[in-house]
Amino acid sequence: MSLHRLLVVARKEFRHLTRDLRLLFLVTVAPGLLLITLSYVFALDVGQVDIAVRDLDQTALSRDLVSHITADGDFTVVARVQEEGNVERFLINRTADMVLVIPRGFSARALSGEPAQIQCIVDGVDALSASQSLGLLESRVQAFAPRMGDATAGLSPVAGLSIEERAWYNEALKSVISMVPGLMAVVLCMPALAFALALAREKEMGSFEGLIVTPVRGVEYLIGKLLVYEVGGVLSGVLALLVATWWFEVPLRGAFSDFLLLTADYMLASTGISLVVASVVRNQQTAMFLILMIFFVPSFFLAGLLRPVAEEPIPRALAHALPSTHFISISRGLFLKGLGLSALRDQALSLLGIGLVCQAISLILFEKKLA
Amino acid sequence: MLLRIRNLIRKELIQLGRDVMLTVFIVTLPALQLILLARSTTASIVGLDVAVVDRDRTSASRRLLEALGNKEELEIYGLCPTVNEANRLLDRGAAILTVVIPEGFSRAASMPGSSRATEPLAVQLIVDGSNDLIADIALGAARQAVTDVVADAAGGVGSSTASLVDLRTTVRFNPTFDVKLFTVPAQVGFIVYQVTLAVASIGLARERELGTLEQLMVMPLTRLELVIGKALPALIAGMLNFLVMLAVAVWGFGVPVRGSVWLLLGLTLLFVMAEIGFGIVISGLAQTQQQAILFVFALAMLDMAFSGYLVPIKSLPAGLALLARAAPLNHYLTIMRSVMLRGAGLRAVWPHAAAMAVVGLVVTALAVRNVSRRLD
Repeated sequence: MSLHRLLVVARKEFRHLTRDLRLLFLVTVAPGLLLITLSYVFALDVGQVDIAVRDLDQTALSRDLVSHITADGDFTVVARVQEEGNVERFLINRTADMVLVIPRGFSARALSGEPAQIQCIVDGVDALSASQSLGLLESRVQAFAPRMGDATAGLSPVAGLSIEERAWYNEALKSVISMVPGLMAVVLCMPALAFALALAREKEMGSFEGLIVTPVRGVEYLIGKLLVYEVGGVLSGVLALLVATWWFEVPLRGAFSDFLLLTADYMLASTGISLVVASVVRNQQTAMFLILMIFFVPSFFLAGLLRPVAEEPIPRALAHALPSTHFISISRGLFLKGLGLSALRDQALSLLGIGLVCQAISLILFEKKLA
Repeated sequence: MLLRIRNLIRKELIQLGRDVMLTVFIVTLPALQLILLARSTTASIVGLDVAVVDRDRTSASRRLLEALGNKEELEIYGLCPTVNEANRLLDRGAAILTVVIPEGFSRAASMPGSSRATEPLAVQLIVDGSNDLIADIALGAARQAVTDVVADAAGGVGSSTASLVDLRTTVRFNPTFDVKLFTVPAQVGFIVYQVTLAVASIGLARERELGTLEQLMVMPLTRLELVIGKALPALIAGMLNFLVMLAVAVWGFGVPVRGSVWLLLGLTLLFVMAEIGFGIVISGLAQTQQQAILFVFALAMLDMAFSGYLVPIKSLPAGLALLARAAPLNHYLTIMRSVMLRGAGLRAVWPHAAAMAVVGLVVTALAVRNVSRRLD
């Protein structure tokens, strides 16, 4: 292997990248911009439930109940149903997530100490949110109950005991703090992808054959190209880091040098996967389709961004083969937990393993083609 | 004109068919992804690891331990002698939650109000906040376990207030809270989206990169004919995939189609055409396939975020709300769910259909205009 030839390839690739301004933009700046947009969408603190209210009672107490339920903004009244008829259309038209019906005589029954009934019709399509909102509604209603009549009934069974809750690493449990480091793994896919495409492109355009006749060897060619996209990737990582810390004020509790090192590690692994894809397929369209279907979209669902990594063997195995799974825990560990290299060793080594194995496979496939 | 379009379509189909690998992938990968993702995302969140520091060591604290373990969301990782040790588990990510049961827990729990004068005892819940969604779930479950055990020990005082207001709930469309019914239609939508965009976005960029666009330019084709010819393979790929995925969803996963299948089919066609518009705009804007593909991925990230599936998108800031409304995928997923599960008709979903149609028309016009400018 000659360092000189390696650098020649790197220079060629660097020229290609810098001459194509759009490509340069997509590889370096776009991840940062995407991070800003995605973070705003993902960081919404969930829980706002739209309700339609049909108040047949129309008393001070029933109005009190509604305002108690909506007091802190978790529930918003989007419609007051006056006329008779099918209330379900509010659910079908997606105007509301649930309809609350307070029957006539609610207040009279409650004040006389009899159990008063209210009815709630909920849209169960989004099962998780629906059961969460129901739980929330139930606890609101029960908290309201003692205020209605018999205020002397034992309110809190936990009088002698309190529950003290503390959240570490993200004290206020703000979504933005936990989503921004996680989303970094997703947006930093872009440089790796560009790398795979650069290889597929040479094959498709036939310029690859031109390279074969030069004295450049397979290893030099690969490493030379890799170098350029690795640098571009780390650069966009730094940009994303600035977005995270300045724009979203996510603390970086770990070391900056660890961040650089582990981002380079992530780039190695994700370019590795792209590389194997690129050496198997014959054109860029196929490379795109393959990466989209097995790598990119699954990253959103399997890698532990929103929900923990699945327990079932097949999704779990696939999740561990995805570099983003490891980088999401690295990124959250570095930013929020302030972990160092030794605590993140497992994830870092997994990335390195994925990277080296993939690079080796593609090199073998590659040398075979050169021969 | 029809003949010219037919010839162009034939050329496109021959080209697609000759690319055996791509064709095989387009046929097989979507089903694979649907099965894999549907299976792994429909499981509810269970078995979050909890480290417990038990300083009480009484039958009451053991009952709490048991109650925590019985919560399906939680799983006892182990008992730790000290809080520090438990917290190291949090650092490593081996546990999500530490529960510290204080000394005197059993006394305080069994005699409500008795220790009010003395220092109040606290059960400490320390949660890993680095994923706030999971933290919320773990905290909620643990809180419930503690309250249950204490209420139980105190002799069920809490239950007397509960009967004052009786909340009767009716769950519509999905009475068993089956998560699958929510996720599978969305996954089907995602797959149709990916396939359509992947096929549509490359066409022109590839011709330009390989130099064959010039040949197309000298042919007696109008720009509209060119766009139609490029759109058709994507249309076929998208619609075929939809039919196969729908079959998998209905027969494989038991998702009902309560509304009209024809309505679903018609609106899917509208959606596919809108996405093809996006694909051709990208394809026309990009100078190389590499650019086109990276644009597609950037667009896909935004579309997935705005789809309302991964996270609810109710209270977006104004600018982003506008973007979300322009994303056809967002409308399409709503339509899929409404028609399949809520049995909605066109009357209920027409605003979404109209939005898709408007966006589709705008991007298609843009696509045609763009092609013309490049050809001149």
